[in-house]
Amino acid sequence: MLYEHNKDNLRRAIKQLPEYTPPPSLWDQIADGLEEEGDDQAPLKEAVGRLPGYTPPVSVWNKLSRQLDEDQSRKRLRVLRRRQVLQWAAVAAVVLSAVAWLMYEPGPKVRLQYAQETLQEFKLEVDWNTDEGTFAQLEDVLAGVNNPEINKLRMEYEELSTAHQDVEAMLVSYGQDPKLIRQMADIERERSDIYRQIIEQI
Amino acid sequence: MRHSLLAIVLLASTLQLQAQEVVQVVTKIIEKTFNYQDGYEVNVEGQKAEIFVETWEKREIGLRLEISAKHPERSVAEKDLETVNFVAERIRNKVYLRNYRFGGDEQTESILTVVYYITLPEDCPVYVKNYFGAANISNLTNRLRIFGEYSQIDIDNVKGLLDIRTRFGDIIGEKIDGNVTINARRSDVTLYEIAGNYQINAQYGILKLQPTTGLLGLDISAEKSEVYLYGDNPDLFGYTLTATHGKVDAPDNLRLLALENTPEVQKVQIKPQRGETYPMITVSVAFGDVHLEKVPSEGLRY
Repeated sequence: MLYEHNKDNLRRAIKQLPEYTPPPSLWDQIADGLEEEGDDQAPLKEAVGRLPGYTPPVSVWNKLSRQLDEDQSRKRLRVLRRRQVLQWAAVAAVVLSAVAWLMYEPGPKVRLQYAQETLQEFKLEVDWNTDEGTFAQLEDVLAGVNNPEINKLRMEYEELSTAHQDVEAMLVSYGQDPKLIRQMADIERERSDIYRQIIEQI
Repeated sequence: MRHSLLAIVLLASTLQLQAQEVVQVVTKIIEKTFNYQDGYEVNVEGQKAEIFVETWEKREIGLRLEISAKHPERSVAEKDLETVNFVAERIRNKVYLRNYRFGGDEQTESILTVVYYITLPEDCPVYVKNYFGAANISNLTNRLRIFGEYSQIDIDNVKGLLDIRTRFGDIIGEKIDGNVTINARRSDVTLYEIAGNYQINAQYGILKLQPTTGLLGLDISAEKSEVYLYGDNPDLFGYTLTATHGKVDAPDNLRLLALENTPEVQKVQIKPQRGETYPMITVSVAFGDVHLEKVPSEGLRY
């Protein structure tokens, strides 16, 4: 196959070519020529008429009719298959919805209840940090000490101070619950105990 | 005289009335049921929560969560109640139950409390994490893991795999049978009627244990702690008891075989008179004493 390298140039050049309209007499001449050609075809028609005719063997017809039958049954099968698919889809839908119903967990039921309670004292104003000054002084003193025994006590003291802060944060977050106050009291007792032990050793 | 007495009684009761205060309690009750299947696990993460875990015959996990706010003024209690959030949902095979407070750094005016009542099949594995509050668990048979901080842990009649870690929260248990691992720091551990295998690590605590028939092994490693072992029949078990910077205490009628006796370390062994194989109880305490005692006639108390 030829390949035109300058396709665009060629196209442009073709467009620039002048156009000419043929004279009407030319068309008449062509029409006359066509009519004359009709006479020349007469012998051909005659020859075709003389060609022998053949009847196809019976097997060909049988084969054709069998093919037609098969096409019919295939169509029927296709219809049947479509029906089956629909049936299975319906069964699957039922099973899925049953499973969904079984797995369905309804959202939580939420309700409010109102009551009254009598407390000995609602607001327990306890300031846990009255001794923090004393503890801070101890920390200053400890900063200059490097004795293994005191270091161990210091680690215990630090653990208890962290616990003190944890309980304090909980008292802020969940309120002055007597149980929390008891926990704080236990931790403070242990912390004071360690404090005494450190003081004795310094 | 009688009048003045009456006056004093009246005055006292008025003073008491004055000290008492009526508070409004607003409680949000959340109820939910989850269908249970094998392989599910319940995962609780409580914040200052009291958690009760019990069992039932149903193949369901039931939850009743109560969040309360107490304050003399109802509107304040209602407002504070809204700051406690909760989660109760199943994601694949885990049922998550949680509570936490929005703006935890801000001072709440009310007293807030949270209580979980969880009921589930006995073979449902449970993981409880609690920060402050208390956990109360009974009748489970499969796997129980607890991580508590500042939270008391009560376990009753639990079998299977147990893994308990606690800080600043005592453990109290009864009728426990299984493979048990306990790590306790600044917590007392009291376990009565225990069977199975135990591995206990403790620092700064008082440990009280009563082994029973069915105990396969008990290994305690403790520091700055006191260990008490109660035994009705010490002939059942073999003991190796070591106290470093402490002493070993045992009833006089037992034949103690001294393995080490220095000012720092005291190590003794007690072997049952009969039998070649017996479960071993090994206790090693540093900076504390080991006590082997008979069960007091009035019984053991928590």
